[in-house]
Amino acid sequence: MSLRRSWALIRHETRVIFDDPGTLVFLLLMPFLMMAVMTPLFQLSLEAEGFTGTSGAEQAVPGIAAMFATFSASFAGFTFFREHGWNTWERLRASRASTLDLMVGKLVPTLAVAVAQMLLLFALGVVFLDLTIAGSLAALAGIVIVFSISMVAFGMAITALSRTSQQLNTFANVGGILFAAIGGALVPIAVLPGWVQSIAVVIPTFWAMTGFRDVILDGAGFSDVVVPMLILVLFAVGFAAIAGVRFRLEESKVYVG
Amino acid sequence: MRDAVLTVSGLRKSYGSVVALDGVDLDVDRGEVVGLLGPNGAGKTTLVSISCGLRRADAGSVQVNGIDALAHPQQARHHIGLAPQDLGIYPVVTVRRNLELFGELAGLLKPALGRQIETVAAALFLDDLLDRKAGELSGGQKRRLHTAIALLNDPPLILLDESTTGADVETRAALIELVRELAHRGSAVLYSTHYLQEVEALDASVVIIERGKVIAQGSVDTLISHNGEAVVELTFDGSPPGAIDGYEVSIDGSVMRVSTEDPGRSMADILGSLGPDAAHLTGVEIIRPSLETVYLAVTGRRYEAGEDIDVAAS
Repeated sequence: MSLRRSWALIRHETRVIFDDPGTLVFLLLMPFLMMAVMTPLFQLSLEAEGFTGTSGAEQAVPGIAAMFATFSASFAGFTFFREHGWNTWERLRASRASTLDLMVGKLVPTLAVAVAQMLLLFALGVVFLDLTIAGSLAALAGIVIVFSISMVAFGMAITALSRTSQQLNTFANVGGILFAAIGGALVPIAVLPGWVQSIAVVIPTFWAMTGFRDVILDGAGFSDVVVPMLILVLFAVGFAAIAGVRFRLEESKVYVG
Repeated sequence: MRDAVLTVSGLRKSYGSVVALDGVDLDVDRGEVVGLLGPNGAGKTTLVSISCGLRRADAGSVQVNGIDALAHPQQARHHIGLAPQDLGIYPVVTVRRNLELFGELAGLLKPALGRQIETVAAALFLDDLLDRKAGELSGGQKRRLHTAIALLNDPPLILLDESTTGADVETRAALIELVRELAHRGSAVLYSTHYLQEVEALDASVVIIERGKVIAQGSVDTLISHNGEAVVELTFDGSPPGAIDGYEVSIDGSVMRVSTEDPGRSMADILGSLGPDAAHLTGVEIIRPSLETVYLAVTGRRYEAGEDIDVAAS
């Protein structure tokens, strides 16, 4: 691996992402509006769970942020499909950049966007929606980072399994909504049916929400959320393994955009 | 003594039952342009892709500057500049950013990177367009940028895969001039094309490939002198007459061809001897000695640039 080449690719990918700032604004504005709408609803459900004196943002902000973070999976995928659409993938492969350089160069900016998006949504929640974080900010940031890594890895896995950008879109959207619904991001896990609660443990969003709620509502510190963070790392490793087994550098993908 | 930068030996590649390359051998020396000529589907792109490690070969060997490119593609790429067949540029960033990225990936550092960008851009008339987004360029300008990316690090081996496809006249002329200049400066250039006239204009060595096999190889002059007798071609609105007195003819559907050293006299003789068959004549053409007559001589068919060869049938 060459740090110089990886860095060149990271800078380039960042330029390409920021060429379309509208998408980035949308990824902040939409979840923020949803949080604002959902906050009063979640106040009631949190009270029903026994959390008094909350605004509802304690569920709405991490839940909606986690749901939108799953869309970074499609972001990760599109960085590859775009290259095929522009016929630049073969050029990159024919360059001196190694496979690892290419992966780092493509995925680090996507990961940075996902992390920044979640952190900004939490900040907006604190400023505008009366979100109170009872526990450690470092723990919160830690969960944001490992959850984002797991979602980018999920993006790589579905990219590896997709031949066309429509397939990627379908996997990402269906997967994202499923993760959010079953993982306790759309609604608190406590109000979901028992059978859903029992299968939620196989969803990364469940572990992200467990960690967020521990920090935000129960005042947990970094050491208290090591388990959900480690489980999220395991998800990331699992998704990366699927990508590693299935991803073919030479496979041509069809970008419809 | 030869000074080969690219040496391809016994290269084979199949896609399922389709044979794309069937034992290809070729060399490209330092300072030499080799025109890789063949219709669509002949195997040119597969050969170029394998040479730079984008595809795996089934058998054979590829040496780039002494490096086994099949075993060590990453190392071989240090010596290669590739302009693939399909236009590959980033439309959302400027021409300069496109060149910077690939320059940096090729290992160029500032300020050499900046100088090299200026040099390559000037050679391809892109110097006034450096700060324009690539997506806003005309088709010809995009094609020039596409080629410029391959030349940034002054590579010893340049692989240009149908670089002029869809290019305007100005771009085509600029690219051909540049290829000559690159060879003059010592680069080995493998120039894949399906345009015969380009190879003639380049005065390159020629490798004609069809159905994955090299069917003719050598300098343009040598090939023409060995295989390039002029041809008189007569087209009829039905079956041509079976024979013409004093000439050996070949029949291809409704077309009759006669190879001859003196096409003018031969045409007069042939037309005079057609008799009532002349009423069915719809066209007469003299094909002067050229790569076209070479192709005709080795395949029995006229060359068509966009001709699709059904490799599955081979």
